[in-house]
Amino acid sequence: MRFRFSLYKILIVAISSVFAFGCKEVYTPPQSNTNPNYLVVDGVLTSGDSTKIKLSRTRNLNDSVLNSPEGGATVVVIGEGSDSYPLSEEEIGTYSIGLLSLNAGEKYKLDITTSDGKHYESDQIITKQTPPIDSLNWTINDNGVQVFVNTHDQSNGTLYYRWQYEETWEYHAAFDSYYTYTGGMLVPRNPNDHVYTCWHDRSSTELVLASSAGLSADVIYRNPVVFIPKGSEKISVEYSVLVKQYALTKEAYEYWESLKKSTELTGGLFDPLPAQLIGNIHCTTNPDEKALGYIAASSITKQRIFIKYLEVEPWPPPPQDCPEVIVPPDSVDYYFGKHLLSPVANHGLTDFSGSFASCVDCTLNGGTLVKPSFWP
Amino acid sequence: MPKFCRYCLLLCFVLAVGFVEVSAQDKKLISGDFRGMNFEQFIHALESKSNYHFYYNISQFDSFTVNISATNKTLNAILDEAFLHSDFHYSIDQQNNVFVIRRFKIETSLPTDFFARKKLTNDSSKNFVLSDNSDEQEKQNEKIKSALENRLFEIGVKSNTIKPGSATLAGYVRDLKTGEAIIGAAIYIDNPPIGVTTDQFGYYSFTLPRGRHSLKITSVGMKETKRQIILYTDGKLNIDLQEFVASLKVVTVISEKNSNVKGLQMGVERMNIKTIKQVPVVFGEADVLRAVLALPGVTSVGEASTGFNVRGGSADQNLILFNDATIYNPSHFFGFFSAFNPDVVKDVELYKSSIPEKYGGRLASVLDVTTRDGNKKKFSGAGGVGPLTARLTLEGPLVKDKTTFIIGGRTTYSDWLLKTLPNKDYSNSGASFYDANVRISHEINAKNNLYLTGYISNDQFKLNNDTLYRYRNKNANIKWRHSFNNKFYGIFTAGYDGYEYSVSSTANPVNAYKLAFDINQTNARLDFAYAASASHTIDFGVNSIYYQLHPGSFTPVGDKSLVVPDHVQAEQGLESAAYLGDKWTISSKFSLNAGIRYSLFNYLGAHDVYSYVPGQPRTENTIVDTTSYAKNKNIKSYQGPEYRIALRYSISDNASLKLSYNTLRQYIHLLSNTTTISPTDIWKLSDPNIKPQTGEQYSLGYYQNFKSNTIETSIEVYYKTMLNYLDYKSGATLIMNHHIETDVLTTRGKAYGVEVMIKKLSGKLNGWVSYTYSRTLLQQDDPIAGETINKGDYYPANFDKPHNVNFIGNYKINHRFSISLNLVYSTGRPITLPIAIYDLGGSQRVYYSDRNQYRIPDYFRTDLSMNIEGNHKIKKLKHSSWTIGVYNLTARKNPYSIYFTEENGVIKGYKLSIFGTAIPSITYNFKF
Repeated sequence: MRFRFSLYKILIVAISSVFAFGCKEVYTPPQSNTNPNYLVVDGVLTSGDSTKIKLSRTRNLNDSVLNSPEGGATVVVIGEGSDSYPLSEEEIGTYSIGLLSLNAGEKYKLDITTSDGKHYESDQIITKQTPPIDSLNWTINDNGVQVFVNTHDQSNGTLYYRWQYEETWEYHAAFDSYYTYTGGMLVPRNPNDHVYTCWHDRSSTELVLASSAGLSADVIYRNPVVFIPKGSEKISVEYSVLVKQYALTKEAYEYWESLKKSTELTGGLFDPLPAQLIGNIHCTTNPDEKALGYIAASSITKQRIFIKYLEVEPWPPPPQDCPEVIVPPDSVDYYFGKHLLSPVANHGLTDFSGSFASCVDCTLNGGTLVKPSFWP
Repeated sequence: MPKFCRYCLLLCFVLAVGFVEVSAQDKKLISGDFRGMNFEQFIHALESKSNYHFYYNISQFDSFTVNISATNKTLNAILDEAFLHSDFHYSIDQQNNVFVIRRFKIETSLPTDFFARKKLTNDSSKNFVLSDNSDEQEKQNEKIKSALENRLFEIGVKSNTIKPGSATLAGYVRDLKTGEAIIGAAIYIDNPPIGVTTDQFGYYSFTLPRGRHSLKITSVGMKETKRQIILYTDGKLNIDLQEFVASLKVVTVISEKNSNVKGLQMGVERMNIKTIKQVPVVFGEADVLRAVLALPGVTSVGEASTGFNVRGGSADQNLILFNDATIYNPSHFFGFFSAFNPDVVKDVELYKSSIPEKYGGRLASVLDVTTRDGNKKKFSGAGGVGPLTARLTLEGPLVKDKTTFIIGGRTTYSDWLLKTLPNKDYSNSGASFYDANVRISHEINAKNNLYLTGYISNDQFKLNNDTLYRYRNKNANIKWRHSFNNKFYGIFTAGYDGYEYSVSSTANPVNAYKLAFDINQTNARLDFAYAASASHTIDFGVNSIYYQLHPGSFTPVGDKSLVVPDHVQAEQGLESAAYLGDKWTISSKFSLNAGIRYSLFNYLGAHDVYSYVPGQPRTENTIVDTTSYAKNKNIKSYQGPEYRIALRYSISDNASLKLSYNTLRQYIHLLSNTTTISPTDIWKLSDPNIKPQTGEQYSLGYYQNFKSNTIETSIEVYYKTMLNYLDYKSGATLIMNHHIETDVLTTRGKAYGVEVMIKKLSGKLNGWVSYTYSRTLLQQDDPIAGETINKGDYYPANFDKPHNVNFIGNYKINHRFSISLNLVYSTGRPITLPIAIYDLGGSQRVYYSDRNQYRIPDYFRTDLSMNIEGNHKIKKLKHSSWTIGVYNLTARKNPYSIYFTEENGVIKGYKLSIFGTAIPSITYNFKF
């Protein structure tokens, strides 16, 4: 419930603020080989949209591998009326279907057979209808920009909400480079080859949940979705966020809330005891084997907003170490040939200027040069 | 001076005992082996073998050791030999008074005013007591002490022959300076070896054989004294004790001499405020609960924990009494400070195993915090200023020697600390607390006393000006004590205790809410104590508590709020008990304390009760029926006997063996599924779906004192079981839950351990060291729980810390400086660590192991503090002292918790220390 969340926050802030004597150190847990190798099922059956289900396995805590997809499984959505929708493996461990049309009021289950022949299925789940997002808005304060979502359900039937978001931002390299160093020569850049403007995107990693249970109307007013700290590169030019809204059942909401509490809202004085969450996926081949994850079904509603740099001024530039170095002709080979610097532009009649590659080529900072289709 | 003193004829003493026996004993020969004795022991030995009385100033003899033995020698011969190569001289007068001093000899002509019945402070004895002490007051006190000690008090109706049989002596033991009652003072005689202790009013009732006795009176922090009495019939004797000022060069044994060996109770720890103040603490404020944590068998989950755990009990299994008022949340600031003002507190008693039958309602322990009554003689005050808090206490007589008051208050100014923090979030936040105490004691007449006590504590935390968080204790009670006669008195107590908290947030106008919880209890009790005979002391009484709880209300704040008011139904309950106990001295070796308490709990309407499908896990879906009960209708009763049995066997004068067995029942539970209890946890009464917790404990202890009882040692072993202890389902919702039984599980627990303690409470160096080995294991095997913890196996409780070592030492360098050192070591508490990670919901997540299968690193802390007193001039406007301390001197980063959290989609592990650095503090204290 909402107030429980704020309570924890208060307690955490209270302690960390009043007693500035505390300290936090990185902790590496003891090496263990206790990985139970459970199947993890992640995704939402999105009615009226494309659906992606990711299958993976649990990993050892100190594993250097970043993911552990489970390939070669058969994944099918089966309705009460025996209608079935097979998902195809798009990339290893990701199973998808272009358009999943679920009937409102009908119950579905997710049916999985892994390559080792084990069979898993979810509980029967109902499809919730998600009301539209009324609006997204944002405010700025000394710490940064907070984006809020507003929504409501006239019929008072939604009550439990979850949001995911996708951020995209345009950013610039420190210098616009007009030359490339090709074949031992400084060659003017083709106007289409500039590496000055990039777009970066990021999907939400935290769970954003809210409930209007306990309110007299099914209204979510100004629920925080995403926060952009002041000075972040994200609004150095222009920023956009697409917020995706899902309606949840009470049980699904409680599952995600417990997951959030035990993996995100920790670190206070009064942390709840970590609990082993019970999802709605079961291994029918071996009832003692646990499967992790919670599958819910709902329609999806989305909304996007843009925030321009001009709207948030003054917005300090992100810290960069980008000196502009003057390179005389006799040093061109040395600096640019050895890739110590990347060329920027002419400087005076004979000299060139250069800077570090990351200051010149925006793609080195994680973005791409491809302008997203929705970008204005 | 009490009336009876005027009739105490010193003359009579001298004539009847003195002269008659002098002639008979003049040439009495003394035998004995005095080798290795210090001067006091030597003198005591001589006094016990003769009727000589010695006068001396002990400070002259502190390095003197006797090295002689004697067979049928006269006193003169013995003393000549003992002082042979020293510069000590002695004189003996006609009354068999012996004066021993250094360097010169006293002429023993009898002073003319020796028999005069003048004010005792001007008593003749001043001619004899020599002192090299510059302190006038001390001299004066010494005079009073020796005069009183050597005077013969005739008790009761005098008769020529003393009838055989017993009579009862009763009275108060008080502080000479302030007139305040002294609790737990031991009054005993050596032959036969019997004794009593004073109760919470400083009252004692002592049945002993008629005739001549030397009563010995000892109490922690007070000078030991004695009274010579002839007991004819029942009578009264009030005794004033003097404070033991250790910085003065008087070597006086101040331990509760022998009481740990001779007392019946086991698993009892008593600390007076002086000891508590010696324990170095964070932020320099003497803290009752921190001192309690230094006792063997007491642990806590972490440094910022409100609760403490006694012998494997959970934090809600401690009954915390503050002048008989139940305190539900004994801390400020989320557990960093205890809610008791150190200037008001007199002493603290913790019952760990043999809990007196008059107490009940909690499984693990009773912590009895007593405040002072206030100075009876003059108006005075005390206070202090520390880094975070300031306090002030005033006390004095309202009507001299009849009515006294004490009033104390404490507050914090920590807000400025928040303001100095760079983060703007915090500077708009504020934290504050205060507590206030008042106590009025009134002596209506010799037989009736009245006590009024009030207490309030309040905590508040404000975040960003829009979320307000507060909690509050409120207590008031009235106590009337009536003595029927010397042997029999009764106390009637009635009071109200309350605790409430609320959280309100206006950050979002649509969701603006106030969440509130409160618990109210009205209680009344009648307690009687009857000193039936020399070998039987009987306690009995009845008590009743009416509870009313509002387990939660969630209401809108402001016009725009859409919050629908929600109230969890109020709960009512009546807990009643009757008890009877007997302290029975079976023989000089054996004594027995047998008590029974019968408790009854009624869960009362108005309330709706859900019934569930039998044999099925309780969930919302298995509710089959709802029964509504009318107001005050009995919904469910629970009842049962509780046994309190303790047996003592004296192996010798200095050693004893004790055995005890206890059963307890608890009808109110704290619901908390966080690691440490938090101020926002709620209390819940037992109801048709939640059974009372029950527990039993066996313990065995061996006690031995060394070096004239100045060193006490003890070893106690216990085994304990608990039933119907509450645990919680995964993701349980405890707040605003209308059917809490669907989220709780019942568990059983067992705890066992050994506690070893060595204590030295007197001398320049005093303190204690204790080692505890203890385990607390829980098992959740509720067949209808629907889920099990760790597959139904025993698992360690959150506060299971097997090894604990505590050292508390205080060294008095001189009159004005003392240093205290505190060392704490314990095994790290159990935690649940992740054993695997997985990807879900856009981020890595952790998969946890079975509960509490790992431990955080061991805990070790060193604290040091120094107390600097101002000069000891008696005629000063105020006496002040400075306490300078460093908490966590070695700056060890003791982990409070280890946690894993998602950061940008990746799981990170952190170790959080609350006090990760050395924290210096300086506190100024004053008294006037």
